[in-house]
Amino acid sequence: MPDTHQPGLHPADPHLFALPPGLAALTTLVRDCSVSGVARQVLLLRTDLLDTHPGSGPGARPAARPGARSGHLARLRDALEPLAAAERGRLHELGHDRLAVSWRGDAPDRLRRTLEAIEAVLGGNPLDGPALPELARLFALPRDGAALLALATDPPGRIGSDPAAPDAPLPYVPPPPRPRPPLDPASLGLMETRLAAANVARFARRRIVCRLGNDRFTPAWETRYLNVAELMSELAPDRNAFADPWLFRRLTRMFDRRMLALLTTKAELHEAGPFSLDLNVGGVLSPEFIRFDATLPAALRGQAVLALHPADIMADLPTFTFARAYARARGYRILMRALGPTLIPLLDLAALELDFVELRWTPALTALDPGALRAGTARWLLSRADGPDAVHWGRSVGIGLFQGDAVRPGPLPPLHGPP
Amino acid sequence: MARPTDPTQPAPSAPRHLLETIERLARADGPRPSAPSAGLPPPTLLGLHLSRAPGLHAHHRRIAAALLGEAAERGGGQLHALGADMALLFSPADGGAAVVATLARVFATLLPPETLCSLWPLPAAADPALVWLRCAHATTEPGSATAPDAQASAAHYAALDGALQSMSTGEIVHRQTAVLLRPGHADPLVPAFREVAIATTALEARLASLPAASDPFLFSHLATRLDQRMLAALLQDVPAAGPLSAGTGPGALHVNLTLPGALSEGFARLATAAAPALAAGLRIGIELPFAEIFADPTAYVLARERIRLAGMAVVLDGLTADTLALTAPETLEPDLVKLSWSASLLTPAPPVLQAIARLNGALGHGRLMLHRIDDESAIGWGMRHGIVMFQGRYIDTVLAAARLGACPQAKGCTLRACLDRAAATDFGPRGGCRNLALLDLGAPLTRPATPPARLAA
Repeated sequence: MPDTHQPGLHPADPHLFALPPGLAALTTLVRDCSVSGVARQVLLLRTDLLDTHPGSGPGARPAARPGARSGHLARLRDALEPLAAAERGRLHELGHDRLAVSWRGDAPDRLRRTLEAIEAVLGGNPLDGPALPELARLFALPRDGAALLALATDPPGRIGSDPAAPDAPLPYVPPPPRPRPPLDPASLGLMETRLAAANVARFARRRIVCRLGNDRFTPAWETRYLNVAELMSELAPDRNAFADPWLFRRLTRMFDRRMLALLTTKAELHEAGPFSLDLNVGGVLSPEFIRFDATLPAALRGQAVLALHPADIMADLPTFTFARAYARARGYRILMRALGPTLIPLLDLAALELDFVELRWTPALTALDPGALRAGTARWLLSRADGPDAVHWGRSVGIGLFQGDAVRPGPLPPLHGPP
Repeated sequence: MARPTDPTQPAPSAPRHLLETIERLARADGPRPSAPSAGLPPPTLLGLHLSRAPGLHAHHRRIAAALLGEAAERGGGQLHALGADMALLFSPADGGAAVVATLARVFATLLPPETLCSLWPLPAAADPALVWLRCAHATTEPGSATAPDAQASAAHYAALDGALQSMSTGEIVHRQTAVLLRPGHADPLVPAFREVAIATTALEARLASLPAASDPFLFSHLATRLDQRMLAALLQDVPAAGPLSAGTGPGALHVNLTLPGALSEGFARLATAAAPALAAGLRIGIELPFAEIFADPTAYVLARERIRLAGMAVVLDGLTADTLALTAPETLEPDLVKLSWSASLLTPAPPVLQAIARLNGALGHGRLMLHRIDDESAIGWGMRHGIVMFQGRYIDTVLAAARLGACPQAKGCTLRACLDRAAATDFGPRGGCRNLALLDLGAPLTRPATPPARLAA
């Protein structure tokens, strides 16, 4: 799914100036995610519950002694460090002894380390208050934005008095804007009809993939794709096409058909170089692909890469195996898209017999055992290499293909920062 | 002979014409299959026996037609569809070896090469070619091999919505009991947990007339929506030990959810409502579909931690022999892994056995279980591989038979009725049972068993 918008702190709302900076930033993040559909994760830590809440449920601790939290707040702030250091990670001091940390993407190890550290802090004192489930809550934005803000700004009166400011009300936080409704089956049908008739050529984009050698980037191929975010905002501005993952995946079939039809027109590939295409497995076996293959210029035979998503591959392995055999017989190479730190150890990449594996850059990759990248014969491509840290890490683990804002043909720019 | 104009479409076949052409070739008095010219290679008939392949899909025939269509173009011939099979009469320079090699590679997982296709050089092999052609399916289906996949329209979607809303929760939520097998114990077969899940089979049957229901993406969307109805029903039943709850059953409840379901507010409400029952000893496992994790691994990590925070166990559902051979599910740190039984496990590939050994080593004994068991061969196989927990229709039948044998009110009850009542969650079907305590317990036992390992944690 394309990530087209990066939330940032821009508190245009005058209400936000009155908030503690951390709460204002969190509110802005919730609002931005609601508007843009960009995903973030948030862990909210209600340290204020430590003094007052007797706890309940499995693992609950006895009621805390007064002032218990004061000794813990600093240690709990430290406990959140692993997540604060994740990709786009940020610690939010919400006031009233509440902390939150937000981050982007896949950071399983950091999340586990953080929760273990919190548990260790709480478990260190048997008189601490409520159980971990009550203190720490996980939220996924944009979906849980309203619930997150509700809990983050829950009035102290509901949870007991605050010794420092017994009656201090939490400031008013404006609710996040109402998110655009997700696709539903009826609107999906309408969108498919519109998409079938739309001129998609103006949404077609190219992005370069470069090979790294002798400290130089040289062009390897171009990724040809449709700018789905722009296309959707034109076809269905009142709907969030990405909110329902299954209906969006259904929609990607139509993107496949339209992109293949576009590339079947002679002008598109007449003077094109090597390229890659994002497709569903079913797209490789579709009539549109067969027509595209029949019109592929001879010079490009053996020069095209088909990029498939792991979810699509694993959903129907026999069909993937068949599609891979057919694609290879026609001279295409196979790339598995968008792997992150959770999927790398999960998948036996050698057994999948891939030509390329795309790894999406996230700082969490630095914790990855580089040995995991040596499995099989597939070559690795580091995408979203938008800064020198990504390129530096990729080079240090022997990755030879790169894509991202920091990747342009020519000499490698000076690299800074730790390896 | 005309060349196909569209590589995805075999020509409308004319078996009579094809037969007559080969008969003339056999008599050596007919025209060549292509315009005669000096040096043209001899004609060959290629028979592609796709009808022999199990699990044939439209895309198999479509790709075969494309590959053979190109061979026809190069070898000056024409492609004929004979039901699921295809016949290509052409004059290839290499006698057809190249296209046969390509077909063998592409269809390797479907059929071995010697079963997949035949090459009959003509006129020498005209007799066996004619025998095959005459025996091949006589009814031709022009274009059927390459029919585009059915596309559902907005009207179909609206019908799906309507069908779904008209179904009661009881209709769409079923339950099933898994068992622990303990050879040598006084109670060798004891209930391990009760699973509640969307009744996929019932849903498919209800929606079967709608083309969109066959779309896996749409079906997953529906399952995500149905999760909320199941969670709402559980919200009432778990605290009150209702028919969905295991309060009267094995003491462990598994809830089958999608990842969005596990991350929803509905789940948070269930976790809150279930807290007292959990504190009182009820064990709850949340079963998450393995295939969904590849679509959104971040959502899985969040869901896993959310489930753990709620004091529940994380169960990976829906692994198959194929997926097990290519993955290391232990890296997802589940509490239990459910492997779908299939006959292919009777002769498992080495990677499957290695994965099982790895799982048992990493997660501990008893943390891999078999489900979707339809016959007893799965039990023996499982026991040989250290598996002690089982679930599926075979287990349902064994439990129903045991209940009938032990139930003093079973007079007039049939095995089928007892099976259906045990699976049902609404009052209607259950109402026919005069011994609901035994029905909800699952098996006639004096005490429930404790499942192994961390499920009890």
